[in-house]
Amino acid sequence: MTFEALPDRDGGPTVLRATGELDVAVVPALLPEVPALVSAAGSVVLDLSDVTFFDSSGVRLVDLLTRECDARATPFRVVAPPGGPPRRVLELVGMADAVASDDLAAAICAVHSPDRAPRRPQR
Amino acid sequence: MSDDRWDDAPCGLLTLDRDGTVLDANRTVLGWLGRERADVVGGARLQDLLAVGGRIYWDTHLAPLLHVDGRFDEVALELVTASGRLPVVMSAAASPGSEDVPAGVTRVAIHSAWERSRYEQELRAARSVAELSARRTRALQHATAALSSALGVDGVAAALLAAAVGPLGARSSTLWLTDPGTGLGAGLAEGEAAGSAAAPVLGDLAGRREAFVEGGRVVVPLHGQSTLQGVLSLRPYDDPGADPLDLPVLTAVGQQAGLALDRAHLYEQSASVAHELQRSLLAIAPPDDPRFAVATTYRPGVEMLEVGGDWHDIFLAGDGLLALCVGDVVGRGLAAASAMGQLRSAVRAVAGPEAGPGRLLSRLDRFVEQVEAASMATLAYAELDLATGELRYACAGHPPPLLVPADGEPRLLWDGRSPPLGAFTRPQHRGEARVRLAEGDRLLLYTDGLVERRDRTLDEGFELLRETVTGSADAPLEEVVQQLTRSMLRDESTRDDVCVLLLSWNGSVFERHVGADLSTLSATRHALGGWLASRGADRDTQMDVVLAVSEALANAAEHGLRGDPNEAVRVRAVVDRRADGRDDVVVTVHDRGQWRTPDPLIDRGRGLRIIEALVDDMLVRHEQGTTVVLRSRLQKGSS
Repeated sequence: MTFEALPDRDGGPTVLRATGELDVAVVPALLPEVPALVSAAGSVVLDLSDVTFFDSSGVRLVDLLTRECDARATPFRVVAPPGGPPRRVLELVGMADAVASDDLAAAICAVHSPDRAPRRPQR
Repeated sequence: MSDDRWDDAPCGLLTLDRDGTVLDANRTVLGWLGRERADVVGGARLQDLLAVGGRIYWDTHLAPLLHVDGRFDEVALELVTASGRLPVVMSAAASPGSEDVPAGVTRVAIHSAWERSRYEQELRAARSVAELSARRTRALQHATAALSSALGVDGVAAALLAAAVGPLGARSSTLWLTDPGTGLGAGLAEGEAAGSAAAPVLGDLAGRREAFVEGGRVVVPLHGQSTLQGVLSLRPYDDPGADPLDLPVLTAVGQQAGLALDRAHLYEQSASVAHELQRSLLAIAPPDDPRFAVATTYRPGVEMLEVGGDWHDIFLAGDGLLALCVGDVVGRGLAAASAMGQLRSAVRAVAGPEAGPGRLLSRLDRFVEQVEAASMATLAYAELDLATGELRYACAGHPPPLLVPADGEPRLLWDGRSPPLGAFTRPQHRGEARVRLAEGDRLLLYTDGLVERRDRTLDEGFELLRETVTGSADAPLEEVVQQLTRSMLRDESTRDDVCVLLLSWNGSVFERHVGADLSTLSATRHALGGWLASRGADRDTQMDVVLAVSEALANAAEHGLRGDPNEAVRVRAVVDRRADGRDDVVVTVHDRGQWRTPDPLIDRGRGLRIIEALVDDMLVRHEQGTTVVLRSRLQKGSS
């Protein structure tokens, strides 16, 4: 499992990329880092394209990011390709519609056009 | 009477009247007495010239003897002289009456016993010197023997303190060992409170090689070859008459102790190398295959410093062919550990589907001819066909494997036996035996330390092993192994190394344990996915069941184990063919804690929702902990 912030591009969103297995053995250690990662961001994308396992602790990570971004009125999307483990779980818990995009391009578009991505996700 | 023959005779001569009054004395006796003739003759009685003891003896024995027998001979007495007491030997005879000496007069001859007495005193002194020297030699021997048989630095320290208050005769004693870098460590005391003796100043000891007295105690520097290894301080008995501490002996013991500490440090160093070697050899990752599960344990012998030559190993000898091995190399220490390592590698190199257990042992015979230290090693070796449960096994001088069926009584596998490796009387072709395992059957391999004890026969040991294992077929493997070593080795006084390997053949049963730290959670998911694939499950079924089980395991680990590292969650999966012919995957997740219905607002609550969404049926049972049973249809697919 890796979890990193990609280098910022001018005017672009802060992209956080996770790879490998996001489970209860690794996620709790990541959570305290989240506020600092997004505090200065204009918009945030969490890229889960290369996540091979995703469970309720991953949901917790997404949930925390959603709250942090919402508190700062920062647009936020999750990249969770259809058919992949994160998308399946986000669908199961009813969060996919609110936060999930199919790929990175769609997610970046979404955080730049608030009309297409409601700033305040519905639970 | 006074002539030269009388006066210059080489012995003292006297004549006495009946009551002992001196009638005459020659010059010799007067010279001894240092008195004038007029002072003695006519005025003194012989008994007045004797020391107190002699005076009494004269009155009670000698005077009556003279009266009755008329004489006495060679009686040892002491004369009181001007320069102290003079030991003498005295003979006396009453005169029968003659021209010169009338009857009733007693003639006395006195010989000085000064020379003889001095000789006797010297003899006595020599004897006490010899006794002291013997006592010293004994004390030194005791202390040296104790020091040389002690193992490790702690052992030497204990032996030295025991010797100090034992044969070395101290009332109490304190020992400081030097720590590299930090000077003297904390004092270890025997017979007195720690800290009651003032810690020595290292600088004061630099040049001192001998024991010395300081502040009413004896301080003994313990020099090794190159460094001061420690300081011993002894408090003598202070009651009157107590023997003082013997400085030369303590100096010698100090030298021995310094060298013993040198040796102990070296020994611990080499022991830790051997331990490291053995640990690295035993730290094997078993092959990852859901068709079996294994638990092992190694418990070093009572002398923690000495590694033994026991080992266990588990590896794939071919496709779907699992090799299991437990062996025991003769001897201890680094040599045994490295011989064990070589033999273990040889087993791996020789094993293969075309070899089989019997031929493998025969080939190892040739190997141990080259590696002397591995000669007479014993070995139990088995190969399990993971697909069929067919087990081939052979034992070279090793205790028999124990088969623990899922249903039925445990039994020892007494076939396939031959002598230890390299034994002179070995057969050219070693035999082997076969047994077919059923699903859930277990096989126990172990070294003799588990069953052999001085206070019971080997057969009793085997019987106890069978009894201990009986009824454990459902318990987690790790638990059985720990329980086994605990109860078999209870109250043990002489401890050998013990190596235990317990294998469970699951067949179509999947079984794993996940500890509280969740470090094996990922591996368990992968193994479960592989097992589901091997049962024909399609990709969606694999993903859904693995995710549901992972959530259930996380919940059980969090609430059931509460971080207790000694507890584990057990996950077991089977394929259940229902009456209508449909195949279900049934997974049970068991922990020994209390189930708590999670708060739906946090992720565990989401986990529960995820499980419910993924499986067809979920059941929670509370018997001896918590069991979650998940049931899902086994969708078959090609991928």
